[in-house]
Amino acid sequence: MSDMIIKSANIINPYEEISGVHDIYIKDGKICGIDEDNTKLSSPIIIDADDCFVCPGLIDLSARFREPGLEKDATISSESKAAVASGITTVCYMPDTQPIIDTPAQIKLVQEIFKNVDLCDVKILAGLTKNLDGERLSPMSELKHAGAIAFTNCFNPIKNSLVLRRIMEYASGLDITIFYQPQNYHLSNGGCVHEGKLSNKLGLPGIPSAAESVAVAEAISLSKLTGVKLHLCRISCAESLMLIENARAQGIEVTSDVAIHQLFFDENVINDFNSDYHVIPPFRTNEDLISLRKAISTENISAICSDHQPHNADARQVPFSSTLPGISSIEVLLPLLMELVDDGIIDIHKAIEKVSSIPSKILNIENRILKKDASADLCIFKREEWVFDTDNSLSLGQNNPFLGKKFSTQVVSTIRNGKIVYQKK
Amino acid sequence: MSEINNFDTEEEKDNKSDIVSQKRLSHFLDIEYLSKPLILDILDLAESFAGVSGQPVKKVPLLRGKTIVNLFFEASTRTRTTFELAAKRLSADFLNINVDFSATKKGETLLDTLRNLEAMHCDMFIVRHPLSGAAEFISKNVSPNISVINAGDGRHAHPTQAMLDIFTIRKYFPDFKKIKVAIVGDILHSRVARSLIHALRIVEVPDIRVIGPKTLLPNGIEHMGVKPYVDMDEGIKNCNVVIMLRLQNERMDSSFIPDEHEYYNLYGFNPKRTDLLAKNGIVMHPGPVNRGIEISSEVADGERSVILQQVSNGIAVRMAILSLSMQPQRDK
Repeated sequence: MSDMIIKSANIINPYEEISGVHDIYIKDGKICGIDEDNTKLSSPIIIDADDCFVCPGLIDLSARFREPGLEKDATISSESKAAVASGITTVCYMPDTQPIIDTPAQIKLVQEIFKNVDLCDVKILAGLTKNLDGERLSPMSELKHAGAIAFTNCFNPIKNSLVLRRIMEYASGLDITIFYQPQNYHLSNGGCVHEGKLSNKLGLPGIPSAAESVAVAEAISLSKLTGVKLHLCRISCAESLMLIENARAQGIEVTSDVAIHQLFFDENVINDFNSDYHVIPPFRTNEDLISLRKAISTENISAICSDHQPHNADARQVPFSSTLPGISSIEVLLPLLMELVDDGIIDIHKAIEKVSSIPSKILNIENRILKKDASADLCIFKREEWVFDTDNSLSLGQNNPFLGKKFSTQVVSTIRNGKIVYQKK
Repeated sequence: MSEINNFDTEEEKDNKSDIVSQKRLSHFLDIEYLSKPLILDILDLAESFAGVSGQPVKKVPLLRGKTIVNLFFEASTRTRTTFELAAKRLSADFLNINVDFSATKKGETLLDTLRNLEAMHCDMFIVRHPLSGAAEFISKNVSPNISVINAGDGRHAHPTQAMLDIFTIRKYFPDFKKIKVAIVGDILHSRVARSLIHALRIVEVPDIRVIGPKTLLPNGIEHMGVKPYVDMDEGIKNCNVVIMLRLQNERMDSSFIPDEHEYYNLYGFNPKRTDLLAKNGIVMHPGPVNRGIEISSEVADGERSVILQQVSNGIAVRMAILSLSMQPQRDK
C-alpha cells in the first residue's frame, strides 16, 4: 500500500460534503487530507486527475458472481475485474449460489475467495430462510456473526404472510435488515413479462404490476407491525412508489432500490421476443418508466444498483419464456447513471450518492463519502466517448443488450483501501 | 422491429399487383405483419387449390423434390393432418416428427434437434410448440434456405388457422367491410383468437368482438382493436360470424370459471342463441369441439355451422401458404 496524491480531482460527493476541484492525499488506505498535506507522505504515487471526476467507490447493492456452483456463468475473479473496471469497490453478494449461502461455512468460503481475488469488498446477504425455501428461518444470529450484512430470500417466495411476519419479528430482534424482493408469487403465476399490451400481443404469460404492489403493501404493513428494517429491492412500478411514499409519510422507515436498466426500458423492448430484455421484475409501461425516473431524485427510491446477473450463451438459446432472466449489467452501472445525469433526470451529486453514500447507510457500514479520515475507496472517471463491446467487456456474462452501445463516461482508475485495483490501459 | 413474415425487400410489400406470382414469404410466423393485398392473394390462391381435392388425381407438382418436416412439440390431429395432406397434394416429400416423444426426452436441446434436421437437407419446418415465440426463435436460428411455418406457438399465434377461418368467412360474406364478427370463449389462452383478431383487422372487418368471462378476457384487450363483452347475448347480437373457442378442462381447476354448467349457460352456443345472429349468420369452431360445454350438438351439426368446411378449407389454405413460403431461389 503506497501513499498517493490525486491532483486536481473534481470531487463529486453528496451536497453537504466537500466538492469541486481539490487534491486528495491518501496514506495507509485512508484519505489523510484534502488540499492540506498535513502528514508526511513517503514517496507518494501522484495521479493527475485533471479533466476527471473523482467520486467515492461505488457500492452495488445487488450483484451475482455465480460462484460457488455456477462457474460456467461467471466467477468471482472474472466479475470482480468487471466490477472494479466500473468503479465499484463494494458488492452485495446474493445468496442464491449453489449451494445457497445459508450457513456460516458458506459465508466464510465466499469471503475467502473474494479475499484471494483481492479486488473489491464483498458484503454477503445470507438466505432469509434455509435453502431459500420460504418456510424455515435461517440461523440469522450465527450468519450475522459470520459476517452476513443483511438477509434476503432473493426471488424465492415466502410461504405465507404469517411466515413473513415471523421472519421480520425474529430479524428485528437481532437488528437485522431484510432485503425483500416484492413479488406476490401467486399473482406472478409463472409470468415472464409485464401483463399488459405486450403480453396480450405476444401471448406471453404476464406479471401484473399488482403482483409487486400487493407485496410492497404487505411488507410495509408487516414492517410497521414488527419494527424490522426493511429494504425493498428492485422496484418496477408506479403503484409501489406511491405505497413507499405513503409509508415514509407515516414515519415508517423503509428504503428501496431500482435496477439501473429499469430506468431505461419499458415493455415495448420485448416486441419481437427479444430475450436480451427478459428481466424480473419485468420492464413495465412507459408511465411506470417515467415515474421511476422521477423517483430517483426523491427518497422514494433510495438507491440504484446494477442487479448484475451474468449468464452463459446457452441461457438464451431457447424460446423467450424458457430463457433465464437478468442482464449482465455491472459494467454499465456508472455509464448509464451518467446518461441519466446528462439527460437532466438526476443531479450528478444525487446520482453518485445513490450508488455510494446511501447504500452504505442502508448496509450500516462506514459512510461512503470522500473526506478526511474516510477509507480511500474511490473511482476516477472521465467524460469520454467509448463503445462497450465484447472486446472490452470483462464480465463473462453473455446476456447484455448494451453491447455495441456508445457511452460518454469511462472509468480511468479505481482505488480501494488506498490501492489501485483498476487502471485503464 | 420484427423480421417476421418479411418479404425479400421492403418495397415489395407495397407493390399491390400480382404479389402471389412474383413474391415469396421467407417464413410464415404471424398474421400481424401481412398486408391486406397479400392476405387476399393467399385466399385467391387457396381458392384455386380448393379444386385439387375434388379431382381424381389430388396432386399438383409444385413442390416436387422438396422435403417438408412437420415438427410438432405438442399434440395435434387436425392441424398436423391437414398440413401433411397439403404438402402431399403439392407433391412434397413429407416427414412427421413428434419431438415431444423423441429427442427432447433424451435431453437434446431444441437447437441441436434443428441442426440435425438441417443436416438432413430439409427445406421447410412446420412448427408447433407450447411456448409463445418458439416459431420465431426457430426461424432466427435455422439456416437461411429453410422456411419456417408457425402451426401454433403457445398463446401467441396460429396464423394458418386464422387464414383458413377468414377464407371460410369470405365464402359466405365476400365483403369483409360489411360484417360483424364475434369470438367467444377463452380469449386469454387462445393463439387462435390472437391471430384471428389481427387477420380480421387487416382485412378491415369494422366490428370485432370478444366475448367471455372477465377471467378469460385479457386485461386491456381493447388495445388490439376489439370490443370486449361479458354478456354473450349482447355480444353476438346481429353478428354475421360467431367463432366459438374450445374451453380447456384445466380452466375449471384454476379458478377461471366455476363449472361447465355455468359456463354453458353463460357462453354455450345453444339453439336459442341462433336467433340472435344476423340473417344467414354462421357459427365456426377451430376444433376439437367440446359438445355441451361451448356449443350444443344441435348447433354444431346444424345448418348455421360451417365447422367441417373449415377443416376442408384448411388443406387448400395451407397448400397456398406452403407453396408461397418455399424458397426455390435459395436452394443450394
